[in-house]
Amino acid sequence: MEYNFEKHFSDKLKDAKLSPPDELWDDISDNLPEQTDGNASPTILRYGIAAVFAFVLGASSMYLYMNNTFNSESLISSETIEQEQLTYPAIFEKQKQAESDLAKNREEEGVKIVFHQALANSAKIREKRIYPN
Amino acid sequence: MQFSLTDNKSIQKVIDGCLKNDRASQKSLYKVLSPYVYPICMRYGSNQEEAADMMQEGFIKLFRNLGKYEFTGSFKGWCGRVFTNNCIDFIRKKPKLYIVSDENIKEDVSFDISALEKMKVEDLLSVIQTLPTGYRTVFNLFIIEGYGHKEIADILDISEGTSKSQLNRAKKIIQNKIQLLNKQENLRIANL
Repeated sequence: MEYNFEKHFSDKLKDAKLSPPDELWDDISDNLPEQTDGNASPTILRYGIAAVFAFVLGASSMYLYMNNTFNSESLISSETIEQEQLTYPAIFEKQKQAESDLAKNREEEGVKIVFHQALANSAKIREKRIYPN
Repeated sequence: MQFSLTDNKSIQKVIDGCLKNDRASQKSLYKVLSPYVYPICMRYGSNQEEAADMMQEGFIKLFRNLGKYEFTGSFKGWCGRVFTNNCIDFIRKKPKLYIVSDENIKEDVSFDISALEKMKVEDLLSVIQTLPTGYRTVFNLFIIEGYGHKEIADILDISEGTSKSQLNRAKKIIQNKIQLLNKQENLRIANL
């Protein structure tokens, strides 16, 4: 009787089939490690976007930093101009000459513009005299 | 991805995918294998929740160790052993494993095999789940897996005598419950 019971029980349960609840796979897959190969494009895309973002952020901060550095350098140099004038008088003289030449040129350009405007105005006046209304 | 548990080529393909943690391969293996390994977890667990935890741990271990399968025996059998060993490990972690049940056991039960024949697998699993953990584990290892008392004593770190007494008690409890369920079912049919 005992043998029969054990054999029947074993036969009935050894190869028994029973489907688990549907949601069990979700619980299992949540606890599995990330995919390591094969269909890895989403991972590459994710890391790619992150890398580009980091690069842009880094480049723009570097640009801002450098820009700021140059500006502060130019401020500092304005403070040291007087010292440089004393240290290198010849260079300073040349620089001064170049600046005055530039100003002169600009002045001449201005005269030219005024002259051209006067010419245009006189031409208009002449035109009016020849062809009144 | 469809695969068969008896075709070595498709098994190899699924194993390769699972080892790379490819979700599609893992899901297709789960779909085919889970109906066979879920009853194992239900037999060793004390309820559905515990069986679900055993399933979860079992599949994680299986996916990690698939590379160890050497195609020398049935793949289904090998996976079944992975799950059985996982269930035993799960139970061994639990404290107070061998508390003797104070349930009254009728010693002179004349068991009717036809009552067992009539029962559904789900009902039988429910009966096994009602056993105390120690009884249930010894019963499973002796009756279903076919281990001897010496092996069970080694696996569970108990004496052979404990294994024998727990098996006898487990059998009596199960037989009592099956007889009772059978009587209830006969009464229900008679009242229809």
